[in-house]
Amino acid sequence: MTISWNDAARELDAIVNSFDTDDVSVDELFMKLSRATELIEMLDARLIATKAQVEELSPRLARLTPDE
Amino acid sequence: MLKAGTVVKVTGYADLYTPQGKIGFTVTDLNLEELLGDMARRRLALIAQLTAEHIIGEGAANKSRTLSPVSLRVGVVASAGTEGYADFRGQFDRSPYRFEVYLEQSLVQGEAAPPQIVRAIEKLGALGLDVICIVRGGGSKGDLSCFDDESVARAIAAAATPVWTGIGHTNDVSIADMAAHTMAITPTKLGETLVAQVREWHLARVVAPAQRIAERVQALLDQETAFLAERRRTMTFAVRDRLSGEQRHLRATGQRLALHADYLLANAATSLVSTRQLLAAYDPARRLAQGWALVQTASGAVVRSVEDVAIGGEVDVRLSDGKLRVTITNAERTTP
Repeated sequence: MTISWNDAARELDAIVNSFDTDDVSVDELFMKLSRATELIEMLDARLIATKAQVEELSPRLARLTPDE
Repeated sequence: MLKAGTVVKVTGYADLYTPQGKIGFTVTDLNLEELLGDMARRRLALIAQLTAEHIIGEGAANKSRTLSPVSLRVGVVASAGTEGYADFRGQFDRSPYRFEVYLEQSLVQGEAAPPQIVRAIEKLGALGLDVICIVRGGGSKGDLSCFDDESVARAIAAAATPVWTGIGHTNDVSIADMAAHTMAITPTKLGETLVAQVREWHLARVVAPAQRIAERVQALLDQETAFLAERRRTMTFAVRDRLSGEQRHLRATGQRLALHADYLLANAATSLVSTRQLLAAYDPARRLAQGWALVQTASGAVVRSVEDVAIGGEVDVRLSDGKLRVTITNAERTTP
């Protein structure tokens, strides 16, 4: 099942915060960076897709304005 | 204008023809002011009565009818082909909204008008429309008297549908206007008001929410885009920091190791020098130079005791600059 946006964002936050608070080993560093990159790419792709869908709908919303 | 019961002031003179027994009356002046005054009095009386019955005025029955926020199904009581109706209808045709107009033709002036208007209101009322509009262009006070008719006011009050009036007049408000849910001063104004009402609803309930949705969607997209950009940046910096920290740590460790190695090497060198000095002290060559000799058998074994050799045997005596082959002629053990 695809991870939800909020879950993914929370996981990404946790990884980023761990760099400030935990003592991340170099081995962990790679794993964490790899996961964070994966999450960012996934969120980015989803955002781009959503933007495209919004772009498609925007003119339809704009058409609701009466042309008087 | 003159009907049975109408009061007018007539001035003239009476003639009496006695031979024929006839009485004549010659009218020299007919005072219409009296007539109009009487009409006004009757109108006021009607207004008072209808107000008391809540047919007209503030408490008019039709004013309490619920008006649809989007009155698009419009019943019209008018005379098609008149300027008033065209002006009214034009407002709908020029608007971007699809009004459904149900026209119920009626005379809008003269004595025959009131029953037709009443019938039209009743017919349109039965259709369950959003609003019924009574439309009539401007006219003289006399032309518009049908809208002061009691039956019209009562029909408006009885209608379950809100009745709007757009009756063009310059002076008094008609009784029909008083009975109406809403009155406009002209048919054009009535059309404009209805269109404006729909436009207001459309703007408030469709356009504005659509704009709000679009704005919120954009704000959310911007926010999430910023979130991702920030996380990407933080991630990159954090990793770079962590790696450069690790690199610094490795470099420092290397430097510490190098220092430590230098120290160890220096120590080893010092120790080597002393060992070498110590060894030098034991160097046989040095001893030989001092005059000591090393005695060895032919096989190379070092002779340490007189018992290691036999009389007549040969030994090599090693000196600092060479060796002597010596034959043993005598051997004496020294007493310790």
